[in-house]
Amino acid sequence: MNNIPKHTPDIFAILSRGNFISSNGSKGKLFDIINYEDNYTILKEFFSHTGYTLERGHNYFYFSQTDEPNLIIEKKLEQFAYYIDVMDFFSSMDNKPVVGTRYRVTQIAEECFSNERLKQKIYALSRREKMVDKVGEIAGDLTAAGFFEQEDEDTYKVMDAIHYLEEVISLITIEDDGEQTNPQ
Amino acid sequence: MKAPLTIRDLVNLLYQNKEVIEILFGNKDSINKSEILARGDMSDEKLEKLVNYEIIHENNNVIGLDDRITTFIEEFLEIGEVTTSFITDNIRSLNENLKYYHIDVNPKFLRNIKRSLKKINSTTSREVMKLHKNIDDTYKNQDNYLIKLQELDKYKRKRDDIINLIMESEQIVSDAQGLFNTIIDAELNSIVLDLRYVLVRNRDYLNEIQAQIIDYINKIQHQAAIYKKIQRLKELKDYEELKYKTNFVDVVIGTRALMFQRRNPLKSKLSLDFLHTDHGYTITQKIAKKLHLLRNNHRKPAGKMVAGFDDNNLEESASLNIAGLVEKFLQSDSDLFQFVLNYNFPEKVGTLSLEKRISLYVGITIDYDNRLLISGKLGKMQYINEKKQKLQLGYAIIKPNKKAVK
Repeated sequence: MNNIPKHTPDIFAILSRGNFISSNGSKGKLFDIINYEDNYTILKEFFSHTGYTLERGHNYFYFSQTDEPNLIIEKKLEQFAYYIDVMDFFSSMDNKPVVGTRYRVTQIAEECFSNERLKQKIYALSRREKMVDKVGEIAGDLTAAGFFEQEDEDTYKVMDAIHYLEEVISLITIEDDGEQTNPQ
Repeated sequence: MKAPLTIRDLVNLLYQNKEVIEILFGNKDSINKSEILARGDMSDEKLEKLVNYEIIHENNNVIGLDDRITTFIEEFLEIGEVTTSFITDNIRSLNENLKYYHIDVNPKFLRNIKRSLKKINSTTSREVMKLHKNIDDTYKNQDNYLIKLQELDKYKRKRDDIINLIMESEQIVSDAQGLFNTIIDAELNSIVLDLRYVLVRNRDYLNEIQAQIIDYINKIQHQAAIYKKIQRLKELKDYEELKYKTNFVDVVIGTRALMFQRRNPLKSKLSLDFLHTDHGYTITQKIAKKLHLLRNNHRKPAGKMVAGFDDNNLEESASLNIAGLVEKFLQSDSDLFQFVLNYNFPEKVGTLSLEKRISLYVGITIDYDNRLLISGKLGKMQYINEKKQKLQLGYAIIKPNKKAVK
């Protein structure tokens, strides 16, 4: 029990709020701590007493919980449907949202003005008046979920946790309807 | 005009301007002259001196560190671009010196051979480390997806170069092993052994790096496939087919990450023990001040109360001995209302008003009803109230219940 790292309360505070700890974000130090030697195993065991399971993704960590009330399921579906919209928006841009990609809100707004397809997408996503605010709103949503991190007023960086969304998306199988095949 | 510079001068110069150099190294080519001059530790003369000694360059009001200084720092800190030229240089020099030594057994050439071997050892390790660091950094932090792919590809080629150089070095060393055996030199032996060990280790390390690069490149390409899939899913969603043509619902229900759940930040109660400590006291003081709870704190707490200040109160409540009163009534033969109304209370209690006597009457009937006989008859009484009004009062006649007493 003595080997539990000093930063465990910080780690718990972040993960228990449903956030991710990514290696390339400002919480990178905490990532390194969990990743250090057998800290992951120690912490997994330690946190298992709290009802949460510490999980490891590709360069990120998060908490999972096995039993959940039905009420959440509906919320989850809704939330994820929203992420599909948002990810569709970002993946329609020239610069794809891979780990480490930096987005500048003003730059995205510019791109939306010149690209009619993007413009339609963003109008469907946000009701804010100004284009910059629209972009800011969805970037803020992804930041709150831990997939992005805000570096300064204008810049957002894609975290390792984006892999989580990708993992889930790659799990979804599309029924072959003859029109288009599943790109997998 | 450039004055000759000694090592001591150079080190001193760097030391005196360490903060500026740190900034310049951190922000390559983007610092304005005015920004540097605005700093407290920089003046026009100092800047001019640095420019004169070519430690920094000034170009169009933009200030940058001299390339040699930048390279020096990068080399030393093992950051910056991976280059194979150092290893190539050393291998060439090793080859030359081995050739010379064959021709002329001269300790000078042996010294050079040893130096080259050592250098191959250190540069290879350093470049491999740098390669690993750069790959990781590129994958995690390069902000453009296409550049990222190309950079990773470049590192993949560099990794192949380094591995070829390692094999070349190993070949040279093993070819020259016969020669090394004839030279009796303990240092040479340990250098060769060390180098062989380091080369093998680095080769293993590079294999690991290779796997990692491929993994990263695959991940990125995998991501590209995922974007296509996202767009397809979005299309289905727009046609409201997402729930029917995919297993979206099952997959999402299957996710167990906490992120989809309502966020309930843990709220804990204050520790009472903590509030009792000195630290807790200062904190409560601070909060009280914020909430203006201490407006009246110039009023000091009152002094100690005089002993026995509340004796009077005690006496009165003690003197209204209701149980005693009831006992007396039960002995008597009158009705309760008249009894209470006409009872002579002890002097300590003072005179009781009519209202008080009535409430006493009511209280007794409620509390002692099992020992009273409520006849159901009503009595009437006339009285004059404070406003000189004539009033009539009706009351139930209650007698002691003689049977219940026994």
